[in-house]
This record gives sequence, C-alpha cells and structure tokens, in this order.
Amino acid sequence: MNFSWAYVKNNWKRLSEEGKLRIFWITPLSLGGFLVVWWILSILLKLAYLPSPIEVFQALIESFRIPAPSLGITMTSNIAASLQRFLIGFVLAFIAAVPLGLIMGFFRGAEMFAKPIIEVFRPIPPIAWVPIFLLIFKLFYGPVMVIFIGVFFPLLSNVIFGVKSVDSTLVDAAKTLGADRLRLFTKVIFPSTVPFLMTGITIGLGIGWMCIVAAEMIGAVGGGVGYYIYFMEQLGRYEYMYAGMVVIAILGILTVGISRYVEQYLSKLMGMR
Amino acid sequence: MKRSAIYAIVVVIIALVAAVAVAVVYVPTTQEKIIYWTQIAPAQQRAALIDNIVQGAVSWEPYVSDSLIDDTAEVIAWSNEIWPHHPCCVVAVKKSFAESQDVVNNDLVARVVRAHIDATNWISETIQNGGENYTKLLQIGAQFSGRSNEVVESAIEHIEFNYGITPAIKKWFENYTSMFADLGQISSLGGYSNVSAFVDSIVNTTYLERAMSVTPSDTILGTVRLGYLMGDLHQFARVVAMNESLWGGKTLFEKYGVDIQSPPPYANGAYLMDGFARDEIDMGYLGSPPALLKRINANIQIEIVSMVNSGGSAIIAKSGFASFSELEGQTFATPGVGSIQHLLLMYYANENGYKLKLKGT
Repeated sequence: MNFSWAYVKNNWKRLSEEGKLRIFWITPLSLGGFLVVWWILSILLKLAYLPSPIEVFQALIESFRIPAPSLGITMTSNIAASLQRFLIGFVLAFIAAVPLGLIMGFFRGAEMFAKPIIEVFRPIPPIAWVPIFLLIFKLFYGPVMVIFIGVFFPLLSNVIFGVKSVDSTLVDAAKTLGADRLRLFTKVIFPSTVPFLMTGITIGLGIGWMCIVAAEMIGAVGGGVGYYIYFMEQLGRYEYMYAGMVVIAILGILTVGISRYVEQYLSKLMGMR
Repeated sequence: MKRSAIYAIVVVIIALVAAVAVAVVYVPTTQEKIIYWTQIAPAQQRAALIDNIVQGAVSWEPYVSDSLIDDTAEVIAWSNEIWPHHPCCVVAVKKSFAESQDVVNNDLVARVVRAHIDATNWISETIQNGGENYTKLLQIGAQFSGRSNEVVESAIEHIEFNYGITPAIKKWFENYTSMFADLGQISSLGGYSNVSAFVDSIVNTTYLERAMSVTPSDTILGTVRLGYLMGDLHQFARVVAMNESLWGGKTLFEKYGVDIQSPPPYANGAYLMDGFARDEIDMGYLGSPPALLKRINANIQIEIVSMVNSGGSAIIAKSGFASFSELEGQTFATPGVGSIQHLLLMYYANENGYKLKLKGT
C-alpha cells in the first residue's frame, strides 16, 4: 500500500468531497460551542445555580472520590444502585413483553383479548405510576416497576409490529415446504422479529433512564443517581447536581449506543439492511 | 437465524441475569449499631408506617399527630424534649425587596411582621383561654391542613408559637449551621469568618422593633408575595392572619395595609428558597435550617425577620416498638437531609449510640 503524501491528500480530498470528514470538526465545534456559551453565561449571570463547566467537572471528579454528605456513598455506589434497579426493571419487562408480543402478534384472538387492556394502560405516562408504586412495591421495587412500565410498552409494540411485518412470501414458502405452526414460529417468525425487538429495546432503554431519575427523586433506598440530583438540589450544591445530570447523560448514551450497535449488527446479520 | 446471533443474545441475557442476581444477593455486613433512614415526604409518612415500608418517622405537625391519633405510631421523643425551645419555622424576606429604593417595600415588611405578631399573640391567647375562639381555631386549622379537629388539637399541643428572635434563638441558628458544616453539607461560610458572623448577617431584628409602631391602615399600601409550606401547622399564624372572619371581613395583613398574593404552597423549605431565587415571592414562612443552608450554598440573599414557632416535631415509631433501642436496624422516614427533623433524628440516634445510615447502603 502506498502511504505517500499524495495518497493521503487524495483520500482526504475524496472523503472531504463525500462529506465524511465533516463529523470530525462539526462534533467538536458543536460541543465546544455549547461549553463556551455555558461558560460565558455562568460568568456574566453570576447565578449560584449556574456554575461554570469547570466547577461541574471538578464536582464530577469529587463525587467519585468523596462520599456525598449524609448519604455516605460516592457516585460509583449511586451509579451501581441505579444500574441495579434499571437492570431488574429491564429484565422483568423483557421477560413479560417479548412472549406476550409474540403471542399477540401471532394469534389474532390473543391480540383481540389483550389489546383493550393494554390500550387502557399504554397512554398513562410511567412517571404517573411513581407515587402508587412506591406504596405497593415499596422503596426498592417501586422505582424498578416504574422502569418496567417504561420499557414494557415500547418493547411490546415493536415485537407485535415485528411479527405482523414478517414477509408473507416467507410464511407461504415455509408452509409449502411443510412447516407446522411451531416450526413456522421458531424458524421464520421469531428470527424475523429480532431486529424489531432490538428497536424496541433501544427505545425502551431511553425511556427507562428517564423513568429511573423521576422515580428515584420521589423515593429510593441505597441512593441512586436520580436521588443524588434531587438531594444536591435540596442542599443547594448545584455544581454536584449538574455532575449527577452529566452522569445520567453518559449512562444513557452508553446504554442506548450499545443497544443501537447490537441492533445494527443483528439487522445486518439477518439481511434486514 | 444464524447461530452466532443466537449465542450473542443468550450471552447478553445470561450476563444481565447474573448481574441482577449478584446485585440482589449482595448485602454489606457491619458491626456498628445502625438506624437506617430514607427520605419520604411528611404527607406520605403515615402510609409508609402502615405499610411497614418504614418502622419510624420524624416530621412536623400535623403529620406527627396524623399517625398518633389513629394509633399508627407512638412518640419516641418530642423535639422539645431533645432540644428544649429549639427554633423551627421563621419568616424570611428577600433582601433586594426589603432594601429596594422604594421605601414602601421596607414599610410593607414591617407591616407583614406586625400582622404576624398579632396573629401569633391571638393563637397563644386562644389556646390558653379556650372557649368559642378555640373551637374556631381548630376549625381553621382543620380546613387549612385537611385534617380533623382532633388532629389539629393534638398538633398544636406541642408547638410553641412565638415571634421574638432572642440571643438564645441566634445561638440555635449557630448550632444548626455548625451541624451542617460538620456534616459537610456546606463547604464554606460564604465569606464570613465564623458561624456567629454568618448568623448576624442573616438575622435582622429591626422589622420586629419597627412593627410595634405600625398602625392599621384604611387603604392598601402595597402588595407582598408571600410563600408558605403545604399544610404546615407550624405556620398557623399566617393561616390565622389570612382568615377574614376573625378580623372583621378582611385579612389581618389587609388591616395593616398589605395585599397578600401567594403562589401555590411549597412542598418544603428548600423549594421555598428556590421560589425566592426565581423571584416568585418577596417574603416566606419556612424552616430555619433550609433558610440557613440555601443562604450559604446557593447564595440566595434573604434575611430572617421573625420567629414563627419552636418545637412541634417528633420522632415516632410504629406501634409495637416500645423504645428506641428496639428499633436497631429499622428504617426511619425523614423529610430530607436539609430539614430540622433529619438533624434531630441524627442527633438523637448519636446520643443513643447509633449511627444513622442511608437505607440500602
């Protein structure tokens, strides 16, 4: 391979013409611009509740190093507490939504029976369940069940949609080749649903993070990033409050990013893209 | 479906389940004598006690009496028994409002304080003398708090309604500030050399002095936006002052020439301090600890111009627990770390040889 200056220049020119290099300067420009505007505003406005990016960054580092006053735990423990709730809620939603979605998508009678009940509950925002779930499921499983609700419906909808979107030619071909209902389900319908399932997971993960923060702000045991944000606001330690928000943003980006990657990988693998 | 994809899904599911299992099974062990706490708003504490979510609670009135009247809980200690005559709620004013060039504002603050003093005196005399006014007082309290007369009667029994800011009260403010510093809840004293200098800067007794020379006014001289807490009977003086039936068809504030506008009640003192920061209110009734805490940490420029009450909080335990020592390893609900009730529980637990720890840690 030729690594001459001309080679690099030509490739750079080609990538530049195709617009593929724009991300390398637009992304830093966007984030950098945001930080500069934030910084200038914090200097000009001099508001206690608008600390500078540096103060927030320092608070973020401190939050991992020193336990929060009265909570007695560091940000690592708060993240662990939130992740624990998040995982349990997510797994419960997965276990409930996937089989139910497959059944509702495959059997018309099951869908007709379950749909009215689901349609009654679907429009209720997950956060509306927080007060009652804290009483019914107590302080640990209350927030967990809010996440369950947040993840359950997008997952269910996508699985049902996935089953209904299966190419009828494939179904007909399988039937012609003698596949019974079980084989049709396991060999054709379920595999075709996987990319839709992954889309549901990606949407559910995003909603799940929103739910956990709201649920933890109202009540939680063992801390949690949502509770940490609320706690620091109550104390008036706003730089730490923003540090908690940054942590939530990073966790959200990471989980949704991983999910998107798996989704794309599976879609390619199964010839959907 | 390709075999590698199935393997990938199986591995992800197994990893998730394993992580959850480890997280659930892992319980840290400790040798210390521990009392746990968790944050639950006072209004929800009775339900949390009934459902055994917590076994104890600490809050203000009427939420303490809420749990006592129907035998949901019993008192472990009243706050006055732990800290005799400790200050609780105060009246605060936004400095920029009181010190604006408009002299009317300055006068309005003195007038609001005067109405507060008259209402406080009326409550104290009514409780002492009983009779028709006492029944009326209970009805007003019941209507405001959404509780029965019986709950209100139980609630006011342990509240000392007062307005004067004595040297002893200022000493208490210094104690609260020192406790916050010891707990690491404040990082500095906001430029003041010591807690005494800080408390001197936040307490302003001149309005109490000026209030005594305020006379009733036939006309409304101006408007004050007054914040208060939801259903809090510590702040009964404001409720009484706002009751038109007691003062000849207008509020006590109107009698002194002040039109009162109030936003919806705040859930706690920390939120009311945010109301000052957002310029929603000019004056407010709130607990002294959040006033001190957010004055330092959030630099919200307010002054404490009058006391509202002392005492009136309690540590309670679910019926069946005879003493505090039986509550080792159990969980208490507190309104939050910035509250006087949380400080009280922490102090009482320490005095009894227990460490207060966040539930689940």
